[in-house]
Amino acid sequence: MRPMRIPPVLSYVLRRVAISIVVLIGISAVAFSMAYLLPSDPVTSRYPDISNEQRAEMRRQMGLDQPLIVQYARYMESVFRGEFGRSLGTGNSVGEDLARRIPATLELAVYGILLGTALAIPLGMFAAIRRGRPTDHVLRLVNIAIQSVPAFWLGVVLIFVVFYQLRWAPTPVGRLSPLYSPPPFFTGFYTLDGLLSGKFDVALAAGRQLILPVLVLGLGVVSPLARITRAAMGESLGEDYVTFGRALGLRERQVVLGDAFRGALIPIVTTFGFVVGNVLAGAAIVETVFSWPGIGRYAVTAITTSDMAPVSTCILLVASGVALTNLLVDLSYALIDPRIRHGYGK
Amino acid sequence: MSDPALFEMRDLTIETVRDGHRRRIVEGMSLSVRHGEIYGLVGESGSGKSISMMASVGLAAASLDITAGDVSFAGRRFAASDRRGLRSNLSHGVSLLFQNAKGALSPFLTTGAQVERVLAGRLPKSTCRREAIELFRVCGLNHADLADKYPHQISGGQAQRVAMACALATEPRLLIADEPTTALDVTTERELLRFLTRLCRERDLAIVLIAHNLSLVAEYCSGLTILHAGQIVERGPLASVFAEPLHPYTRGLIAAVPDVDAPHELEPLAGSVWGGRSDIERCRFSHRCPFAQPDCEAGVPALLPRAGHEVRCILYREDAT
Repeated sequence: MRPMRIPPVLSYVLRRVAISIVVLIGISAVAFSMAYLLPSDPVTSRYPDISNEQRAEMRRQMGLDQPLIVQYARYMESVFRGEFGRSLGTGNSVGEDLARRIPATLELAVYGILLGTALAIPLGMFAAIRRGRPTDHVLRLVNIAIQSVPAFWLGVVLIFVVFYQLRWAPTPVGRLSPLYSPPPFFTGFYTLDGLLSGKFDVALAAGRQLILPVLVLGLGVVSPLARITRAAMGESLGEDYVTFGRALGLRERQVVLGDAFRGALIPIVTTFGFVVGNVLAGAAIVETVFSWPGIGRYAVTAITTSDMAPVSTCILLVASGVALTNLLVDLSYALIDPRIRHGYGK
Repeated sequence: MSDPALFEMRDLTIETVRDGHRRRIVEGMSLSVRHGEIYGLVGESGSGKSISMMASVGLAAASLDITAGDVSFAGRRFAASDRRGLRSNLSHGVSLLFQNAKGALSPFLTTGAQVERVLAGRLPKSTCRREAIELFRVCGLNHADLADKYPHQISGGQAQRVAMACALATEPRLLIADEPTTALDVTTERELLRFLTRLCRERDLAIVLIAHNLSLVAEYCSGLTILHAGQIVERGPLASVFAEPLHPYTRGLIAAVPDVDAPHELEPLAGSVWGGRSDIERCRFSHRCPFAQPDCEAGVPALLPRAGHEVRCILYREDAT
C-alpha cells in the first residue's frame, strides 16, 4: 500500500504558512517598536532648526503624537492595504518604493548565492575527498581567509583595485551605467530582461555592473557552505552504501555525486537556509558600498533618517524571505530523502 | 595445486598509526581460492579478516598503509597498494556482500533502480529492465512487489537478496561475502547460505565467506583460514583442520561451538584479540593461551605444514616433539 502523498504535504505546507504568518505579525510588532525606540526623532533629524511649536505641529501631522499601539495599528492597516506605510524620505508608499527596489536586490542576491554555492560545494566536496591530505589543509586555509575578509572592506578594495587602478570594472554607480536606459520589465533582472528584449548591450552592461558586488556577496556564502559540505560529505563518504556502490564497480562520479552527495545534502540545504538570511542582511552593506538601488541601501537610508515605516517594512520583508526559504528547505528534505518522505524520520 | 587459483592474495601486510605507534594490523596474509570454491575466513572482530579482503579489492580505508603484498585475480596481478588497479577488478568479476545489507543499499533509490544502475555499466539501457527482473527472480525476489520499494521499506533478508542481485549484476566469478548473514535471523541465514551454495554450483562462482561463526564455515566451506590478530594461525582443507585442529586458538574456537548431537560444556575463549603493540615480534595469542611458554615471546612462529594443513605455533616446531 502506497501512502497517499499529496494531502499530508499540503496540510504540512498550510500549517507552516499559518505559523509563518503568526511569526511575521510578531516580527512586525517587534520591528515597529524597535524603529519607534530609535533614539532619534524623524522630525528633528529632518528639520533640525525648527521651533518647538513647529516640531509639535509636525509630529501631530505625522501622527507621531499618538500612542505606540495606535501608530502600530495604523501601520498594520496600511500593511494589509499593501502600502506598508509611507516613507518620509521619498514621500511614496513603502510598497511602491520596495516594488522598485526588490528586483535590484534579488538580482544581486540570486547571482551572489549562485556564485557562492557554485564555489562552496565543489570546494567542500574536494576537501572531503582529500580529507587530511595537503589539498584539504590548503582549502581550509583558503576558507578561513575568505571568512576573515569583511564585505565592506573587500568591496572598497575591489573598487579601488579593479575599477580605479586596473579599470577592468565599470564605475560602481548602481545597476546600470547612465549611458544605457533600463530594459523593459519582464523579470526585473536587468541581465535577463536585456537578453529577453534583445538588447544585448544593456544585458552586458548590467552584467558588468554586477560583477564586483556579486563577488563580494557570493564570497560571504562560500565559507559556511563549504565547511558544512566538507563535514557532511566526509561522513557520507564513509557510509556502507558508498563502499558498496564502489564494490559494485559503479563509476566514482556516480558514487560520489549520486549517493554520497545526496546523503550529505540535508545538512547542506539546512545551512543554505541560514545563508540566504545572511545574504539578505549582507546586501545592506554591499548595496551601500556599490551604490546599488536595492532594499538594503533603502533600509540603511531609512535607519539613518529615522524613517520608521521603511525600517519596519524592510525588517518584515527580510524576515518573510527567511521564513519562505526555511519552508522550502523543510519541504526539500522530503524530496532528498525517501525515508523522510515515507515518514520514517531520520 | 594443479588447478590454477582464481584469486590469490600473497603476503598482504597492512599498517596504520594509532596512538603514535605504527601498528601492523595484518601481517603476511595469504589466501588462495579456486574456481567455484567456497572458502572460509574465520576470526574474531578485529582479527583483520574484513580489512584484508577490503584491501584486496582496493577499498581499504585511506588511513591504512598497505606496505606489502600482491593480489592476482583471473591472471591479472596488482600490487596490494595499487588501489586503483585492484578496484578495476570490481567491474571485472569480483563482487562483495556486506553484513548490513540495508545500509549497503543506497537509501535514495528503489531496489529495482539499484540493480538496473549496476547493469547499465555493461548492458545497453533497453535490456536492463529485463535483466533486472531476471536477477530478482534468480535471487528469489518478486520484481513486481519489490522493485518500486526503497531499502527502508523491505526486510533485512530481502535487502540482502537485493544486494545479491546487485552483486550478480556485475557477473562476478568471485564473491567476497563479509558476514552476509550476521544481521539475519537463523532461518533466513540458512536460506541465504543454501542459495549462495547453489549459485556457486550453477554459475561457477567462488565465494570467500568471512565469518566469526565456525559452524557456518564448517557446513559450507571446503577450506578455511583462521586469522588471529592479523596473522594466519591455521589454515588448510576443512576436513583436515576439523579432524585435527592444532593451534590452541582453533581448538578454543571449536570448543566454543555448540553441538546438538554431542552436547558439551561450552568453553568461552578467554581474553581478547591482541591489543598491544603489533610491531613486536612474538606470538600474538600467547597472552590468552593455556599452553603458553617463555619461548612464545621470542619471535613470530613460522607457519608450518602439519597433519595435512598449516599451523603457526611453537608447539609444532621441529624440535618441539
